[in-house]
Amino acid sequence: MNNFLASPTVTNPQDSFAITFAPLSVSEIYELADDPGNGAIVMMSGTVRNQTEGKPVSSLEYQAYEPMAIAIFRSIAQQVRQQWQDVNKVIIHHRIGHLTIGEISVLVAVGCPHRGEAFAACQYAMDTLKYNAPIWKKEHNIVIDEATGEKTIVGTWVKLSECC
Amino acid sequence: MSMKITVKLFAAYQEAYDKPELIFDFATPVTVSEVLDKILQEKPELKQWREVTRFGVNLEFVQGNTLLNNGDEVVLIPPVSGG
Repeated sequence: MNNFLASPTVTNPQDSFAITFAPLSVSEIYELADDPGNGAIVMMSGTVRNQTEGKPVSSLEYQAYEPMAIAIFRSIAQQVRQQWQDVNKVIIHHRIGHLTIGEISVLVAVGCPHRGEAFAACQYAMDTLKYNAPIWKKEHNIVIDEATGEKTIVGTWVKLSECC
Repeated sequence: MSMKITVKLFAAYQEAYDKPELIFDFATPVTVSEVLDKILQEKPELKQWREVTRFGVNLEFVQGNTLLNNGDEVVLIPPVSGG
């Protein structure tokens, strides 16, 4: 289930990993992925959606085990470079705390000489993050009482199988 | 000789205890899944997570039968959903 190599303890100087309370900036992550050797940068932006399977969502709350999440990001970058040797940059920044609809929760950017490997590597990094990074999402749903019309907010921790 | 083990709690585990970590002293050797068993005895409402919880020790994923050492930091990882 965990195809982990011995985890690297140092970040490749070309890469950048972060867990942050502050809002994520698309232009900052793009600049971090920039490199004269790139012919392509693919960036994935994960955003807070207004519903899950028809249930209205008011906001999301993210929690991370930060030191392990950063270790997993490093390990993801190592796996990316094993599969696509030409990758120049791997950037993974994830936000935690309380996020409202439309806000960016995660940015993953990969810079490569060619677009094919950039698309593939970015998808691989994002999919692996979703499965392995110790980051949890609590969904706050809007529940309307049918009798009174009263709205209440109910929070539930989202299981992987039910999300995205 | 006693063994001090820190357990980091997140998601449903953190809510059940209403705190971010637990510190246990064990008199005899224990595996990481035995630590989870102890927690489930204390908080039976968490039993629904037993089969889907993965384990980390000192920031690495490990199997449930991993023996712990004095000072280890354990994390219980219910299904994750970052992104």
